[in-house]
Amino acid sequence: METDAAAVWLMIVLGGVVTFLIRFVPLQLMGRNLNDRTREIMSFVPPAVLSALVANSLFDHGIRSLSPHNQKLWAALAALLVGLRFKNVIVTIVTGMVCLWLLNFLLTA
Amino acid sequence: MNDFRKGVKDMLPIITGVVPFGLIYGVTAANAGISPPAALGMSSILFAGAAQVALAELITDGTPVWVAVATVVLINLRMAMYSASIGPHIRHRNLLLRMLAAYLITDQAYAVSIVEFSRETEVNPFRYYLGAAVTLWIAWQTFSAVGIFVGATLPKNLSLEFIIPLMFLALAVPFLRQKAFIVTAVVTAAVMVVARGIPGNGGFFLAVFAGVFCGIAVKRRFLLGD
Repeated sequence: METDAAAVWLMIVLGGVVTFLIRFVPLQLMGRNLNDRTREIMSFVPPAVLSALVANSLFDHGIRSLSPHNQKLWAALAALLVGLRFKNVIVTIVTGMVCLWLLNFLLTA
Repeated sequence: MNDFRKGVKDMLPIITGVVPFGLIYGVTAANAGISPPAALGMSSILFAGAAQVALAELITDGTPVWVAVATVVLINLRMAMYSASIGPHIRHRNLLLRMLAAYLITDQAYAVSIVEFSRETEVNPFRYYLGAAVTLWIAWQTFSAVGIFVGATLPKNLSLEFIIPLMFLALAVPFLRQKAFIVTAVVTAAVMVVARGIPGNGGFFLAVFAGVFCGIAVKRRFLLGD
C-alpha cells in the first residue's frame, strides 16, 4: 500500500524539522571557544565519517565483499593511490570509474 | 567575496558525485509515486541525499509516519558531528546566518570546508563555507529535479552510482597524511564492514566511535613515545 499524499508531506515536514535541529543545535551549543581536548577529538570525526561512507558502499555484503572478485575494491584502491599522489578530486574520481569500467570489460568480455 | 568564490571553486569537482546521487534520488522518488511538488519539497526541506533516498523507499512500502521520521533522524544524526565541528568557526555571525549555515550542512560541504579550515589560512571560514555549501545546494536541487521530471534510469552497465563512494574517497584523501588519521580511517572502515548489519545505522556510529578512539590513542602514544 502506498502512503497517501498528506502523510508524505507530514513525513517531509517532520523529517525536515528534526533534521534542522540536528544541524543547528550542536552548532549553537559549540559556538563558544572549544578547549583543545574537544577540538582534538572533533578533528578525528571527518576522516572517520568519510571512511565509513566509503566502506559502506564498497562492502555491500559486509565481510563477504572482501574478495578479489569485488571489482569496486580494486577500482577504489587505484583511485586512492592516484588521489594520494596527485591530490586532485577529479583525477581521483575519473581513475576509479575508468578502472571499474576496464575491469568490468576485461572480466566479462 | 573572494573567499566565497574559493569555496565555490573547491566544491565544483565534488559536483561530479552529486550528479548521479541527485538523479538516483529523483528517479527513486518518481518510482515511489511521490508527486513532483512533494519530491522537490523533500529536496529543499530535508536537503539530505541519503535520507531522501531512504524516505522515498519507505514511502513505497507504506511505512507509518513515525517510523519514517525516526529513520531520517538516524541517517542524519552524523550531521550533529559536523555541526559541532563547524560551530566554532562561524560563531561570530548572527543567528540568521548561523541558521542558514546549519541548514546547508552536508557531508560534502563539511568535508571540503574542514580541510580548508585546518590549513589555518587567511580565508574567512564563513564565506568559504557558504560558497561551497550554496554550490552544493544548487547542484542538489538541479539534479534531483532532473531525476524527478526526466525520470530516466541511469544506464546500468556504466555503474555511475560508483561515483558516489569515489567522491567520499576523494574528500578523505587530504586527511590521510597524518598517521593518527590513517589509523582512524582504517579502523572505522574495518568496524563498518563487520558491523554494517546493526539496525538503525548503528554500525555507522559504532565504526566512527571506534575509529576516533583508536586515532586519538595512537596520537597520544606517539607523543609520549618519542
